Amino acid sequence: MARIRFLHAADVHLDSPLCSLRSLDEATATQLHRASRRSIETIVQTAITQKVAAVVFAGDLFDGPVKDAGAGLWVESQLKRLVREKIAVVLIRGNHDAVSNAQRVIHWSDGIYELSSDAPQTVLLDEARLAIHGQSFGARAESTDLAAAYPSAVMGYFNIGLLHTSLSGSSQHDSYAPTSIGLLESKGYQYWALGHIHQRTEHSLSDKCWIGYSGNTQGRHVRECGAKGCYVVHVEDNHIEKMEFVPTDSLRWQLVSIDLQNAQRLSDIEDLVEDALSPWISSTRDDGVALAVRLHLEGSTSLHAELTQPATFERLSDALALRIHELGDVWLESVKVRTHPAKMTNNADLDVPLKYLALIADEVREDKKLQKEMWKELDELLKKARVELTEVDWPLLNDSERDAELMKMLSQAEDLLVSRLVRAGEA
Amino acid sequence: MKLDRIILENFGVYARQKFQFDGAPLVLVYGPNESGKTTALNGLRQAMFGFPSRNNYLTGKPMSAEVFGKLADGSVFQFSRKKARKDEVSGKHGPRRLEAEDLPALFSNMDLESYQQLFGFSLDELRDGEASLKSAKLSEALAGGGMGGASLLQHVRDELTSSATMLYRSRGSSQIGTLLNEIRERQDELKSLQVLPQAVEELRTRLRLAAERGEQAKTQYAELHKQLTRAEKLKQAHPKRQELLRIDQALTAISVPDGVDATFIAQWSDYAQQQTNLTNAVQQEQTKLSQEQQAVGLLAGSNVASEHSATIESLGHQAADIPKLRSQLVELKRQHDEAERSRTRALETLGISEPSEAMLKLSVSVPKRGELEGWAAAYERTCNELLSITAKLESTADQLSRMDDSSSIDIPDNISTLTALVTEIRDEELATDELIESVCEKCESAEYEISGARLKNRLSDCPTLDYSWPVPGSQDVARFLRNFEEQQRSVAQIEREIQRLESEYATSERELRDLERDGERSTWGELRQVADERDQVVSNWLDDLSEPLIACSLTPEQQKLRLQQLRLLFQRSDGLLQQIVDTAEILAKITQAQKHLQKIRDDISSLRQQLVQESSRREELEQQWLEAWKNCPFTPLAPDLMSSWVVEFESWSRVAAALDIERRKLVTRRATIKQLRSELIDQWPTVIEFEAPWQGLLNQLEQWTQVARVSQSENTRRTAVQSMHTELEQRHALLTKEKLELELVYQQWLATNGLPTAWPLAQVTVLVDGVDRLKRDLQTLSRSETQIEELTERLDVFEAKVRELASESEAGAFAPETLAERWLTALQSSRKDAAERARLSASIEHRTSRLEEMKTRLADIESRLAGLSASVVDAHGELDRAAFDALMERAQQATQLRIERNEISTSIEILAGKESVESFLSALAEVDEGQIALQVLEIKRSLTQCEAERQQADQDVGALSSQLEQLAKSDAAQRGGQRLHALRGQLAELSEQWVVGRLAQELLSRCIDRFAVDNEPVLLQLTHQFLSKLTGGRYTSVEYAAGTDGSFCVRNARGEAIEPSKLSTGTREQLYLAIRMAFITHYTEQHEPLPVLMDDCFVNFDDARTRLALQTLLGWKDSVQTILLSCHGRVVQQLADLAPDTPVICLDRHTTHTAREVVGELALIN
Repeated sequence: MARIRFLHAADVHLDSPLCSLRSLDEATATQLHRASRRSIETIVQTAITQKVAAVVFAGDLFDGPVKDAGAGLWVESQLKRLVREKIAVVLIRGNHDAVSNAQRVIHWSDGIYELSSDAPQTVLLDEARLAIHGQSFGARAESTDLAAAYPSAVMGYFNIGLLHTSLSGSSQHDSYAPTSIGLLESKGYQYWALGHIHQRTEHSLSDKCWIGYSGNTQGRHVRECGAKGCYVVHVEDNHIEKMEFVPTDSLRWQLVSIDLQNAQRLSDIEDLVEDALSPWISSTRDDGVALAVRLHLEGSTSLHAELTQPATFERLSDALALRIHELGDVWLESVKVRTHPAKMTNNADLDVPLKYLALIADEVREDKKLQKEMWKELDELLKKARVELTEVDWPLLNDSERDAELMKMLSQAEDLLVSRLVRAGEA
Repeated sequence: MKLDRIILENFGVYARQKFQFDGAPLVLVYGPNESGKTTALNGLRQAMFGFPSRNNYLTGKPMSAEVFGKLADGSVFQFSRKKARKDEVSGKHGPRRLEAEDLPALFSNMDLESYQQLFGFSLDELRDGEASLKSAKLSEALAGGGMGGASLLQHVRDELTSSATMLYRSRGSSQIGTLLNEIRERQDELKSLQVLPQAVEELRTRLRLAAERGEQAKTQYAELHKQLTRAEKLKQAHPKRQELLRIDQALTAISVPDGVDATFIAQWSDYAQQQTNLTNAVQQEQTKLSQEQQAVGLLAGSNVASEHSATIESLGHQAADIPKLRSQLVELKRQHDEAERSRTRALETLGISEPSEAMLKLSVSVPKRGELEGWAAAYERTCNELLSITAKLESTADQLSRMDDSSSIDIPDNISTLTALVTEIRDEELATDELIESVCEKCESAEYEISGARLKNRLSDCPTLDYSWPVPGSQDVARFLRNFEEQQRSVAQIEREIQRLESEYATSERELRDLERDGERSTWGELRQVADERDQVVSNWLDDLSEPLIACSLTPEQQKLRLQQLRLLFQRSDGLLQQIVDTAEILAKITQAQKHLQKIRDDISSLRQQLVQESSRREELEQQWLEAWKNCPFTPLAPDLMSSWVVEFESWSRVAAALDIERRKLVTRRATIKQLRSELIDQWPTVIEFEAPWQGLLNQLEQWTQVARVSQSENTRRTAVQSMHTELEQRHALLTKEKLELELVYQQWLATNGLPTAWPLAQVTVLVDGVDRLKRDLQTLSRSETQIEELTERLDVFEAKVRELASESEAGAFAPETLAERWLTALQSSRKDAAERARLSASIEHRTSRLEEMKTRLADIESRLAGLSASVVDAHGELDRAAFDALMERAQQATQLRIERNEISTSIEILAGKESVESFLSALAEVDEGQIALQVLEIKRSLTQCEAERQQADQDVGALSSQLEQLAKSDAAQRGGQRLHALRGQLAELSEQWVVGRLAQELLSRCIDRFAVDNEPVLLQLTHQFLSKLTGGRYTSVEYAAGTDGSFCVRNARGEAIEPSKLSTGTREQLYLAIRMAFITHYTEQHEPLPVLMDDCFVNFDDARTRLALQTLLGWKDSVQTILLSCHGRVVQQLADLAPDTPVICLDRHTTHTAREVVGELALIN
């Protein structure tokens, strides 16, 4: 078997919106909403440039909530470019695009294979000696182990298993098409192109064959930070010779924490931010992508009280956005204040009301009943805006995160009170 | 903790300030406005809790503080703090070393902010606190006691509520509400932007149908187009077929003999054409030949004399230059004459008849010429100056000789000094006289004398009266007098009081004795006796009644008797008891009288003690009095006597001192005069000769001054002239030397260059120029002479040759050059004709041979034509020329027709295309031209219609494809989705802020409530105590208002409940103070107490409230140390009344005294 290459991509989530940035200009706003399409364009261009034999998409090409059928037409036009270059495209549907409107209008050309959701299907590319097996999700919630029914490896071919799965035991993701590494190994495939988990697998999850995720092609928010892209797999004589990661993102997210312990003035923060950002900026500049940052202002600082003032915070955020943008193609997503008052009343013996603040906060942390009472206080807003907040995965409405989030906000409330009481005292 | 002292260094206005507290429970830091009270307050705080990095009190010098104090457990601590990036701390706590990290534990782990909130009081805080109590709940008020006031809690709560409401409220506008509305609008907008699958499917169907339509139209069009092409071809072929038929008919009609074919005709035509061409060419050549032959005939003539042609040619060429040479010769002669004249002038200038050889070799370079010019200029300048100086020297010599004739007057040369001395002596003597007069006048003043005598007389042991005696000042003596009198008054008052008390004592003693006498009658024994009897009667009666038999035997009379007996006994005991009660009153009076006596005794004792103190004070005063006089050389009298003496002595001593000063001045002046006189004699030995008053001396000096002024002027002038003369002589000598040097150098140069030594230096450049000009003139003369000679010789040779040739040719009387030119022209003309004749001869020869050749060729062609003609004749019999030509014409026509037919056949074949020509022609034969035209029109119409349909289908396909492409490219939905997502992100941000704010509100409420629940009983109890003290008992307690939601009321001494809002501002301030003091008290019962800092809190209190507040502070818990800062004297005054020994630190004087002392000083100042 001669040398061949194929491209593994997943979780494009086409037209899925990105988190908004501050002080955007028109060009960057366009860059923001076109980012996922840019990633597809890069994938197509890479496939053509590298003359790959096939491009495989391991699900979630489309983002479920996107109801715009135009996206389907656009993808169709892009993948046609691959067909024109005699590059086969094999794709499966994942949980997000199982019922996507965007996909309903697509008429795939010959050479593009969307694998069935009824049963596992195999595409044989005789010229390249590739056998690609896979099965699409028929519905959003797929709880069965789809991989179990996949056929055995085709002899004399390089076998690729295409699967959208959370594997088993991932606490951070919902369980979709759960399966195990052992089962995947048992199929005798040389490569398992997985989708669903947005974090790229840098080393195979198995010693026997390559099993891994390529991650999503464009980070959508700061929780998906770092470079995003696809794998170009170089194969020689049925063995993987090299795994080449190709970035396809045009905007890269980064969470940067700034310790304000030594900051004396608000203006000091700008300098600290600039220092903290410089390595990230040079890294993204080398890759030719824009950088979007979320700043976590942390540490015990005498500026805490000022930072918790909405007007001051807004001014600071605007100033930081401008300052950051002066550094290059860098944008500020948001600033989160996670600081503490510089002089917390750390004296347990101090019999003053501030001590009671800590006491009550601790009690609420411990007492579910009190927490329930707190929830009641918050219910009026949560009811009113539940739908909208759920759309952005607001942690307080996410069952798995809500308790931890409440505790976090409780700490913020405590810090806010301490700073206000002390500040008001100074005034 | 109690502070002993705090020392601040380089803290704001304080270079060094010591605050001495000595652990006192209450310390007043008193400083009027602008005395640095606020600086002191901040200094005390920062000394304890650290210097902030951003410090307003930095002075550029190292800021530091030292703190000394004692903890409640009795341990002593001390530390020093130096301002640095991080404060440098060192000290001791008991035996242990104290480091920076130990300090928080020392101060109960409090930071500055917490300390200020808990232990700091300020007027602003008091005002805020008072205002907040109007609407505070009891829990808030109590919690606020530990937080710098309920106002703080209310402020924070209001701020949180405001922020939360601004972010979200269920009704009305809010940020979150507005955002939610916008999100919903955007959602609707997004729906409109999204492309629905049905729409895409519909587009695709329409596209497919349009594409099919287009395909059908294309097929139909192709078919029609094929038909049209065939019809068009038939249409085109139809006239060709007709033409073909016509040609065939014409060919059939033309008769041509055998052998006359196309080759024959072509050969014939070719030869005929060649024959025509050659005939024309021969004719042309013959014409040209005859023309050339004629021209040769015209050029016939003789050759010019060939033996002189070279000479003629040479002379002819020279002739043109001859006039020019003649002009040059004239010009050269003019130049020669001019040079001759110039040479003569130059020789005259140089003063020589002929130039020497050296002179002709002389060459002066430009630098040298500059040097010579410099010499000449310097020489001229020097000579001129010498002339001028010589004239001046003569003039000054005259002046000097005239001046030497006049004689000088003998006068001193130090007149000005003498004048100054005499003037000074005169002024001094006048001033001395005045002083003597003044002193004498003062000394003889009666008042002064009498005063002095009186002062002496009053002192028995008085030596000579001296104004410099160390006598106490009159104010001091007056103060002593006041003290003595006061002391005497005090003693007299005490004595009077003792007398009064002794008298009262005697009276009271008498009264006591009377009372004691009245009280001596004791009824207790009798009462006891009656009681015993009564008990006996009752006992007996009970004994009887306990024995049934006896009881039965008792008669009613006996019973009655016993009862009567008992009643009597009771009456008697009642009487006795009344007596006892009466006696008790007397006893009480006695006790009271005894106490009164005792009090009188105590008072007397106290007064006697005071008397002793007074006498001691008297002794001290007397001692001080004597001490004040101890340096005086006499024994002072009593203060009252000395008072007037001192006043008079001060007056006398002032006069005496003034007199003494004047006497001293007089002595000084006399010494000065003596010295001046001595100096005058030294300077003016002959002054004795001028025995005259000072004015006479001054006149003499003035006269001398006038004379000296004139003489001095003359001297000055002579000196000046002499000086000028000398200078001129020096200059003259110098210039003479320079002149000689110049002349010497010049002579040397002349000698070196062999030039005449008589040449004047002033003219040297002119002479050198003359030499140059002479040299140029000589060269010009020489050159022009040579040239004239050459030219003359050339002209002579020319003329001689012309004459020689002319004699041979017998020429006319022309100038030689004219003759030569004419000869040359004639020679050139004859040469040109000869050349032309030779050319024409050659051309005629060539043309003749060519003509012959052409004629030969023509004959050949004619013979060939004849051959061709003969061949046709041989075949068809004899033909004449005309018949032959007609035959040839027909043959040519037939050939032409055949060519045309071939062409038409070829075009028909092309039109037939793939179809066979036969079938094409047969089809063509079947239709006529009209039918074909109709068919073409019909097909074209169908084609147009079909094309329109195809275009429409293509347009539809293009438009639909474009729509699909637009849908694919459109990012409107993406943009809308992104915008919506951004709004949702904002919503999440705002929601988080709202949740945090709400949680903070909830925490704060719970915190306040819990604090109140835990601490309410003890805090309320303490608040009651302090409120009662602060209000002087007018208000007694604080309690929840009935049926309310936690608000409270204050109860007054009459038991009335009053809402805080209805209390006066002052009372609310007292209430607030009570709550704060209660909290601090409560706190200090469990923790190390820290000093309480109160910054002028009582400004709004009237005197009564201030007094109560100070009393309360003085009576506060022992462990609490209060440092009160104030700028009001009344606080000091009241403190002095309440606790005179309270330390008061005066900021303006940097001292620490007791309140009593400070009040005393203030009174003195006022």
